[in-house]
Amino acid sequence: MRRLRGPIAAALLVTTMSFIGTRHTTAQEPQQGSVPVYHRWQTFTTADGLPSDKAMAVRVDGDRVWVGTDHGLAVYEEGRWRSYGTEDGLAHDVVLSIDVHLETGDVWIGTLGGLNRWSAGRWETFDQFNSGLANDVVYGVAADGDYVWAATAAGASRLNVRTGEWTIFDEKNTAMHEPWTYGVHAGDGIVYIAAWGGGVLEYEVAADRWRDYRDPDGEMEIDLFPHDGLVHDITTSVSYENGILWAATYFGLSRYDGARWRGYFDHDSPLTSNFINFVRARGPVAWICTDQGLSAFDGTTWVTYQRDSLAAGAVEIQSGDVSVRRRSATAIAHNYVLGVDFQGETVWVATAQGVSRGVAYWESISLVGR
Amino acid sequence: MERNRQVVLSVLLMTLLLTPGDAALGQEDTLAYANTPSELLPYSRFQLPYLFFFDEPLTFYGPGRDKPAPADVTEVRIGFLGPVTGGRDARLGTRMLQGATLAVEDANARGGYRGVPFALIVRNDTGLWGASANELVALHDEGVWGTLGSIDGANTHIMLRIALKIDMPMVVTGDTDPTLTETTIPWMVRVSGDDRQSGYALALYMVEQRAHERVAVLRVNNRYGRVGTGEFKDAVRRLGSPVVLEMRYSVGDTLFTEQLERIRQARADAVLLWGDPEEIGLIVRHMRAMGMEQPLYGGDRLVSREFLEIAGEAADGVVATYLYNPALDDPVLQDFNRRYAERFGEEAETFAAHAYDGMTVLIEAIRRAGLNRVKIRDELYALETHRGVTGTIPFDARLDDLGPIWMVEIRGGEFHYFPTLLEER
Amino acid sequence: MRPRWVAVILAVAAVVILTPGFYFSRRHVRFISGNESAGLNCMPCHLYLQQEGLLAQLRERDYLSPLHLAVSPDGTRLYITAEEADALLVVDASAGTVLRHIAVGRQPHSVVLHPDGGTAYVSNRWSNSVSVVDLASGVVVDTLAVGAGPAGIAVTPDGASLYVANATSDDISIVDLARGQERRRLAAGRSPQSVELTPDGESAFITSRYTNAVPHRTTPVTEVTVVSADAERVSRRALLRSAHDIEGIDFTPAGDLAVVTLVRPKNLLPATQVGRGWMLTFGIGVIETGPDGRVVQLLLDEVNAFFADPFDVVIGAQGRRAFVTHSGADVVSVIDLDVVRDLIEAAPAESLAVYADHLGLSARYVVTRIRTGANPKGLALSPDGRRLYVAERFEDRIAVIDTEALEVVGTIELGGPSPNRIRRGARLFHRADHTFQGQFSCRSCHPEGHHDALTYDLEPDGLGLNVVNNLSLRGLAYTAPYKWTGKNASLYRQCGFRFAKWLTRTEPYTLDELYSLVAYILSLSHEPNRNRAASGDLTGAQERGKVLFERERTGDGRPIPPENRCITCHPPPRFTNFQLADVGSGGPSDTQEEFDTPHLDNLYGQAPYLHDGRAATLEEIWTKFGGDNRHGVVNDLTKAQLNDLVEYLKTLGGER
Repeated sequence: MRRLRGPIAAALLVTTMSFIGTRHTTAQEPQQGSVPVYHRWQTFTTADGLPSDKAMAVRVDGDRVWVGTDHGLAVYEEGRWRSYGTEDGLAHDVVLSIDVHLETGDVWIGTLGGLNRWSAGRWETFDQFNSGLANDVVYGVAADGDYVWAATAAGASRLNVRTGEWTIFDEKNTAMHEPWTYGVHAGDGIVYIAAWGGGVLEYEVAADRWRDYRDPDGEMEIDLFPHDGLVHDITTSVSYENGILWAATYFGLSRYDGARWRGYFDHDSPLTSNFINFVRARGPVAWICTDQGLSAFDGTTWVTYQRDSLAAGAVEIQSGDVSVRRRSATAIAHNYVLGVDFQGETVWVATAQGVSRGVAYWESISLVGR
Repeated sequence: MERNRQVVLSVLLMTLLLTPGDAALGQEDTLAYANTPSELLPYSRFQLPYLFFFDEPLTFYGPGRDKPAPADVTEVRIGFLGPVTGGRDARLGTRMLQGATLAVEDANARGGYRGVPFALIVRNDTGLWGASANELVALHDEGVWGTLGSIDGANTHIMLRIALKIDMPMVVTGDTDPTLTETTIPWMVRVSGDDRQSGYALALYMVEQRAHERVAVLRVNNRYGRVGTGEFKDAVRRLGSPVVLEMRYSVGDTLFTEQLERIRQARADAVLLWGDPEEIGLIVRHMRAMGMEQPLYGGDRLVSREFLEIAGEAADGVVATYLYNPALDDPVLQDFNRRYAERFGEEAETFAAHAYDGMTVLIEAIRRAGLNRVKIRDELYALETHRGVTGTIPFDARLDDLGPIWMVEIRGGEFHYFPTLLEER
Repeated sequence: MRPRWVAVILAVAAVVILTPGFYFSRRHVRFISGNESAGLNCMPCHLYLQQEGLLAQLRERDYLSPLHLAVSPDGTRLYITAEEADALLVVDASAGTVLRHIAVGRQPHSVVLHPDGGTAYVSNRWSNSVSVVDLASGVVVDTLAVGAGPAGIAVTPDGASLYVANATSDDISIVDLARGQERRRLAAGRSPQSVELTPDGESAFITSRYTNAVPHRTTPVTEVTVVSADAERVSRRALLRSAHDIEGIDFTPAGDLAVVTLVRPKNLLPATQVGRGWMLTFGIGVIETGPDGRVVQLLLDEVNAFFADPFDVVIGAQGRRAFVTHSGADVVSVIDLDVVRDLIEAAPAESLAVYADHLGLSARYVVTRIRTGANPKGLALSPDGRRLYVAERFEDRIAVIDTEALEVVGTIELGGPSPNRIRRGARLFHRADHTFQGQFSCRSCHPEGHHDALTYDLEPDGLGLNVVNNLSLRGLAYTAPYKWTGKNASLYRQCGFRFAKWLTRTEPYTLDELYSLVAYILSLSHEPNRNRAASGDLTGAQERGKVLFERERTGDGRPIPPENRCITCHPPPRFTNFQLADVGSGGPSDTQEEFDTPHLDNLYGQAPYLHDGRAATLEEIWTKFGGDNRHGVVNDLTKAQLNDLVEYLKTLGGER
């Protein structure tokens, strides 16, 4: 019977939402809060010069935008795309993750065949054979200060770029349950790692201290209480901004403000799906990339984006009990969303069928759709 | 469309759910994840969980179904990833490869893929320094349409993560790690039981049937030992007889006196031995030689000729689980057993038989879907049952094999199969 | 009568006693040196090579070895780094007198002046620091921590920032001079040497000595790194293909061209090529600094004469002439840049590819060669451009060249002692005149006595099949035998007539020269090991690695045969057992399976590894080439343990 609970809740939600969506919202409008509502999207595909439509990761680097696809790396600069493949020095054609080291401008690229450093046109490959990298499958990468962190299929690796020292963090020296790491966030002297079965690991660089956040019920097949901690121990992506930790899983979303955990699922919130590929926060707003759409959420207001069957955008804004639904003429390239990043007022979205950028947004809810 | 269907379904289901007499527990055991009996559900005595995760079907919402099949293929490649050379697991990997090979040969004898032969691309996953992860990537680079593998739990887990990134249908037949299907990645089918089912079956048998109260565990100190016994330990605890002592040994050990003395001191009334026949065979002999007469239990790796050879007469009375019943009087199975023995000069066993079934499932999916990996995945996930040599396999929502597993008792150097308590219920 | 008899008896006794003694001594010398060609006596080992004690003290001299220099804005003062004196010398340029020795850090490399003229910055290679010298008081007022092995330095025109090329840590430090702290660290090429800012101050160009990582058995590709001063990020990596050892750099006044020195080694050709010339060639790189600027290479050699080891370059004020020191040929080449511009301006890429190897072109743009004293290194022009100062390193002297007359018009003696044997050996080591047509010096392949990150085909078969990894010569004392084959029991054998026959293809060194050369080589030391804390304490990872290095059992308790333990073949203190060993590294065309066990000093900077350089990193020794567990039992290690082992290996060695 348990398999019914999701659809039931979904049914209730959908029914409610349809109701709200069909009425005029002038009387009561959701609080937009800090979440912008994009309504104009521009999409790039192979037709525009991408090496493949399947974009696995996107990272903004000043005026440049790096996109990792399943057939090479692309960079968007001065209005045009340029591609790099293994013939240029890319470790593998399937690119999984990208980060830009703010201090040096070096671009770190995680692939299925190792970690690349792209530095002003020079390619270097670090793999499990020629370096101390734990494993060639690099799901996540984050560069901060003297360190580059890589979330690999066999543990988290840390490279000290000044000394060349590699350190591996896995189930032997941290609280990881298994060494399979999915995502890493590094900044402001703190590192978060999303680990399979290990929840979220936190590392304070200065103190050289680890701690872990786990799903308190300790069971894979259930979530006992939604707000008692992480929703699940299998975490896929992690982001930390404004003192808020966001943890993505294939089972829902967790938000931790340092005192209180909140869990969000597709049946009890506007989250487009429990299957979350990636999360990245900007200021107070987390952008959640799921297999059925994109959600932005600041703890109060949700804005979700989906592409409908007519290629138009379905936008839903919800705050508390109030929600509105709107359509936009353009939409994200595909609902299977794998990455997001921000460039000024533009948001870049990597999807399984192209890269989209949101270029215009409604300033306030009262203007939405007018 | 998907949404609308869900809405309709949801409304229907809501009506059902709101009918009096909440049937959440007890009545509909078979619907529960992994055939979990109600008394073994986590927190079942205290609290109904907010969410059950593994009941919903896995859907892949990504694109790729419109990608055309390549023209002029001369062979349809299927990847095989497993330990085929080097190390102890090569014995298991070789049997898995033989089963898979026979399935491919059978399929080719039936015309292959629309007249084009299937070709097995074999990759060894015992490489050093983490090289196993590279092997699935290499299979991807070689253009396979699906893969079968592997045995090592960690390797298969890593494969699964890669499979999600590269859209690779994966059939697992030799890895009994119960956590494998708990990742919710919609690209994997398991055609074999797992150690969760073994753990439940052993726990119920030992606690309910044989009324053991002081169970000890002696297991191999690696991931197979840790994960393989995890569900068993939870289950006996929930049944009221928590494990009194857990001891470990290392692969290659030949002396177990220290562990066995501790088990004796703990006054264990039954011991679960979890590991490979090489060490467990010795352990069983040592125990009997030390005068330890406790009933002994084990997993499916003990149901092997290696175990009988090493343990000798001490094997008598050992009870284990097995993932199918090779002695079943089933013409499909017996035909397979005969042809396998003719082809490879040895008797078929679990790794071979399940690999045959798994490979057949994959081949049939390719035949139905055509050369498109997302469509092959969809065909796999559309399966409800498969009639294979190991029996009729019912799949749950997550494409995990929920077919019956069996209990085995060793008597007089032979394996005697009998149903688990779950089956009898 | 009696005295005569006494003399006869004594003479007979002497013959009886001394003949076996003499015979024994000769046998001893032959055994130790491995040199059958007689002639060696007791002196080299028992006098020249003594590293400590009274004899060593008597031999010790305080040389200065001027390396780089700067001229004060008014032209009255020269500031000279004295490499071996750990000092900055202040010289009155017109009087030619040394005014001051200012003690700085160890092994000072470069000196630059702040635009205000009141402060000098001196990079200290062995102290990993930059000394800030107040020139009015002659006092070091601050010491800036930078990366490892700081060599070239440059101050931005606004005086706010200092760029430092860290030759050992392969990066660039940008120091905030107001705060006295490093602000940024950027990845350079390998072993960056010189830094120069473009005249407009918008970019810094940094040369590199070693090739970037390239596949095994391919020619070097070495970069000049360009840093945008505004963004403080690397904006370009100009690649010089088939070239390396890029040392000096200067810009034309307009800033449109950068000129660098370079070496084009034909390291993959069999060494028999030496007999035909053109084995190593020496020249300049001309880098167009504009967007998509070309990188052109031109040789300074002539068809039958080579000008080894170009080191520094300066361009005269009008931008029409460039001066290049050839530290291996003891000359300064004067280059007409107008001719160079004409030559390359309209040349298509195919022509430029030919020019890069063309020995006949230099006659068109090399105006003249000016002879200098031994080992000319750094160059500096007077503010009016009339005087060119040349640091003659092994003369402890500055040569003064008139840039109009193009001749040496004077010298400034810095006050060094007279050459001893080691010093004479240093001159031999750095001078190419012992090689056929002056094609190379020892230094060409062993800059600063170190390695050059290349592999060479030195087999006499002339087939080019077997390359050998060129190793550092630092810290070689007491590590015999030599060569990867272990065939040479001493350097006297290694550098003796066989060396002339197979490699230099000219007259061998005289015995006296050989004594000097070997004495010099064996005096070379590595820098203090950058990976080991000054306290000698190991980090956690290094400590764990040490346990692995010394282990006798695998992780699961199985015994490791002694011959497969690290410590067996690499025991302290030198981390070699001086034996040959077969670690499974023999290649298909190697003529032997066993190779000399190398010592492990300062391994960290010495990639590639193994006898033929096939391992690009330390990790590859075991991940790619150690699968059979013969080069130590390692296959039971986790990646984390291998990382620990590598961290420990990187701590071995240091200054000896």
